[in-house]
Amino acid sequence: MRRAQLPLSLIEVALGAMLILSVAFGFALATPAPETSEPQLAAYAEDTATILTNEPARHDGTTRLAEVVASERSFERERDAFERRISRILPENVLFRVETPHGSVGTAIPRRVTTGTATVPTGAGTVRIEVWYA
Amino acid sequence: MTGREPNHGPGSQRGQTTLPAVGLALVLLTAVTALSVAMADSAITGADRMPDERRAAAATADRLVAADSPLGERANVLNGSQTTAFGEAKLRQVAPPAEEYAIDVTLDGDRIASSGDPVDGTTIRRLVLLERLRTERLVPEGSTATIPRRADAATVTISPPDGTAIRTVRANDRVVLHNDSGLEGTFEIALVPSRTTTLRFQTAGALPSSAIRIVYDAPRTTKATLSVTVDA
Repeated sequence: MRRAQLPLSLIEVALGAMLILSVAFGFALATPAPETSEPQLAAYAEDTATILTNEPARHDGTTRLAEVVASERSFERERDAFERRISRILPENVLFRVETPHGSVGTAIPRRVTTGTATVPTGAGTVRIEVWYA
Repeated sequence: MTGREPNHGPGSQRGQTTLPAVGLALVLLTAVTALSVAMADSAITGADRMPDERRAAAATADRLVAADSPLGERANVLNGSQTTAFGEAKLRQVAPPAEEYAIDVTLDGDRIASSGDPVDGTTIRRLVLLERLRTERLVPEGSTATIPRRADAATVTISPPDGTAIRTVRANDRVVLHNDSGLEGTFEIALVPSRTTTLRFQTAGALPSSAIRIVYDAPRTTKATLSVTVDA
């Protein structure tokens, strides 16, 4: 055969560049964006838990939280005041749900939303506080 | 076919890949590789969930709301008078990152300490209660006075008119002051902060309301937001 060949190196460089760029785009596009709101929400949940566990009780009991979860009756009695108190502690743009052994207060947690969680062990069981941005 | 191409070397029977094309290919490939590595690196750095700035902000905020911080009264409760006395020197003491980063600490929007001047950066907000002591005055109704809980001491000033003797002062049925010939002067009474205290004055003779003055420091807590901004 006696004719000129296509310069193969140029085809090779085109293929090579495509391969490398596809790997690079895989990194650039497939890594999820950092979830920056999560540490803040976790801090809000922890702070709410700390404030509630250190608050004196309104009627009887050692702390506000222990008083609320002491029994079914005390939970029913304190429910509204407890919910008001938590919504006052948290900023306006944050919603919450608190699950206690006797029931829950707050808004239902929407699906696929980033939440911050804090759990507090009490004598009557575990109290779980979840907060998220409205 | 007509003979050899003029640009081919002597003796060559077919076209060869030219050397400049190989050189160009190598240069292009190297450039693309370098670019891609840089891109991948920045993508992975961006995906770091706790970069230094955020870490420093979270750690500083954590230390400030702790029970043993210079601001703290209890966990997440800040002492109101300490927050006004807080400043750059104390911030550097509590938060070692302040040496390296510009840190700004604000309480409900008022700057209470800063090292450097952060332009923007990462902010962590913490929910705290701000406790301030407020001096309350109380005049007993009849012969009893009720002091709300959370006050740990009260000052009672007794100045009975002639013909009246105040012999005993009880706090929740516990005798705290007693003098058979009548009490007069200023007395300090220790209280139990976890419960309300009812002071009862046992007198002989009429007790005008001006005879007794009670002063106590009641802690008042208000909700506040502590923000720590760190700019690397």
